[in-house]
Amino acid sequence: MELKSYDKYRMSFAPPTTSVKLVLLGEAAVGKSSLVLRFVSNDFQENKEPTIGAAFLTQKCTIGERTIKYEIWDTAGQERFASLAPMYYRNAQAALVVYDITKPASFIKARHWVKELHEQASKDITIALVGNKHDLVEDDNDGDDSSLRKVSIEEGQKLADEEGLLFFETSAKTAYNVNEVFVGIGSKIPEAPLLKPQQPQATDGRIDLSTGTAPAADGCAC
Amino acid sequence: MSDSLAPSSENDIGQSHFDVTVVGTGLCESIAASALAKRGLSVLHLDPHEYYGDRHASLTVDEMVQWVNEIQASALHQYTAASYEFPISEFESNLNKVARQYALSVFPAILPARGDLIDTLIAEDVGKYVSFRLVDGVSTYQKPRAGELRETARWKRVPAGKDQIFKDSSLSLLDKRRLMKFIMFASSERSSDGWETEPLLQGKESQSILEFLASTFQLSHDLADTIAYGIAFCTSPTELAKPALMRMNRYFRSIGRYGPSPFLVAQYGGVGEITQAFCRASAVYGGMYILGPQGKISDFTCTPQEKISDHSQHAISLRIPAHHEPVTSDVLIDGTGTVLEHSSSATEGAAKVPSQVCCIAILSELPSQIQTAIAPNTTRQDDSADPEDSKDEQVEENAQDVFLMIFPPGSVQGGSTQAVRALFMGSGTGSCPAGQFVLYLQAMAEVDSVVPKQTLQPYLECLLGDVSPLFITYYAVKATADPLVFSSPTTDTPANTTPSSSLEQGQEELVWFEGLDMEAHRARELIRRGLVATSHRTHGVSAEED
Repeated sequence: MELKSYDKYRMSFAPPTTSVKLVLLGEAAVGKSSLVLRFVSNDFQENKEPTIGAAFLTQKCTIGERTIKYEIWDTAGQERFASLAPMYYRNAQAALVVYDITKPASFIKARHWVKELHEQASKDITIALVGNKHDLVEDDNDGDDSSLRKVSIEEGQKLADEEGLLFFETSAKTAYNVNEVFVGIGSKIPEAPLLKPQQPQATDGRIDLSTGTAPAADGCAC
Repeated sequence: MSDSLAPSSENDIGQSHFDVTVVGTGLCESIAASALAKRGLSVLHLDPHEYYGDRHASLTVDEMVQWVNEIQASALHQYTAASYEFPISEFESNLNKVARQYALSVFPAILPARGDLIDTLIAEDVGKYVSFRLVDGVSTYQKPRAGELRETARWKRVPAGKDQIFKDSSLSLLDKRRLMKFIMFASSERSSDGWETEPLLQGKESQSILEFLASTFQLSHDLADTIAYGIAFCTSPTELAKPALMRMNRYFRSIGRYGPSPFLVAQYGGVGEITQAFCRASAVYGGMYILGPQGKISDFTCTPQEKISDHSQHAISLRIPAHHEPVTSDVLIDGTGTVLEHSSSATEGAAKVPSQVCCIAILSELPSQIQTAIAPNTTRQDDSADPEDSKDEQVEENAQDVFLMIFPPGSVQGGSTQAVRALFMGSGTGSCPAGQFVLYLQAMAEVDSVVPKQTLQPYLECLLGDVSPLFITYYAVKATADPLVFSSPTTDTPANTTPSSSLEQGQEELVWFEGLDMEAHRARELIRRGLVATSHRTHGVSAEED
């Protein structure tokens, strides 16, 4: 977090940053928050409590000449009773659909979320399918029946191909492939058309309520 | 995350006690749920519907159809006289493909840039979840004078501020000076009781705003009309000066906070998004959300304090299908009036008579009448304008996504004797696909008979001409009752959210102007009651408001 001011400093010289809203989806306990925590702060906590208190996390990601600022939204548990608000998907340019490669049920759930995204989210959303907990199977030998792995790479890849998704297997615990997910998404996000320079009313017409102290437009003192 | 947190069976939500249970995801309940969760209380938030927002929901077209069906089956007690039509049958047959591209607000309202809800959004840091945009302008419809050609442009753009008054070529210099003097008077900052002691109002307590504008500021009949209906949003010519002036004060003080317009709307269907944002904030702080039949309450009991024998007992007990055993709480907030089906106070609190009639229409083209209404006034002073000015005007011409159109009383033949307003939204608001528009019409309900279509059709015909909407729905709304709060010290009483002085008069008439702030105001009382009811258990959580 100390990087922030440095980032700001650097930003003023860097090309404009593309802001990307990324939403997380997936069954409980597949490691959604751990993935984000690993990406955002390169940290992993063994028995992380369910997500509490974070509105959304932000992290910058530089891909070649571009800087992408991810605004990462967690479900905040609202998916548990099928009560995820439509607001969650609004304007989302990217989504991570996460499952646990040792839990087949979480893969079935992932299919459901992909379908839900196609119905609810904007047409040009970039979706990455992520099979997490790779650390649990990385010592496996091929053909080992006792493997903890219950969802094969092929199955994951097949779903991704059918639905036009990016596909990764990751480990939030060892950081395996985590950055690759976000770099992969970033390089698929279309470059935002360069709009007019920043006005109080931002490029997409979005108003930041907390900065609404701009001088009145009718500042004329007659 | 440990596996023990996952539901162990189909009907187990993981815990059987919540400090607070909230029923209904309308705005004030959602604000309360968010604030109470943020202050460290455990919150269970239920809504018998599958969608967020309750009376403030934004619905897709298929949800809207279902909503109307529910009203017709008398399952939604706050509404009546609902109907829908699909004048273009292809739209109905394609509905399942396109329905989700729409966000239709059952509570179309504008949000003044200064007020309780904006303050709450900022204080609770919930504004960041919602995209807001400015209302691009307001026009009033002027009845053609006798002998006037029918073709005459009848829409008058309401000047949004001093600079627009200067530019308005339809005003004489004398008019401008009088208008400016009035705006100086109406926009100056004052305390809430400042109007009581206002010298210019002394002895004029019974004057209507129209009389006041004419007698005190010598404003012409036309100007007074524009001000009364286009700025003060009066509904009838007899509305008194003071409440109208108080609204105008907010109007003028709201100008410039976020831009030239005093009003904001939330993207994607308005207030429905705002309720979802508060629910998300609540969930982020640990609030649990169960929507639909899984959260439908049965076996509700509320034990009075004197019958609670020991501290481990809780005032509220209820059952929901999602959980295998009774859920207990210290306090229950019910915004739906459905928890106690035969509650006497619930029926007393809810108004029996509808207070307003509404219509929502989806349009696939822009009717010429609306095009005229939202076009900026034609000004012929461009020669002298500096480049800065012309840039402003260009922006104005492009921005036509949110517009208010006001019909003063009696301005349309066969129409209402009260003012009727239309809120127009383009696809830039995210509430419909590109190239389409959503039109909301609202009027006060007639006293003798409530037939929304009968009241609103003349206005719809005026605005649409021969354009046929894709979808149209009519409904009548009853006044919002205060939520019920159940807890042991004070059982089964309405939240008693006495409106602040600015809302005393004609509050229901202006539900779309001040209704959202009323909700923020109600929420404050709900939060206070919630904190009081749980204060004996949660040491360290102060019952004081922040």
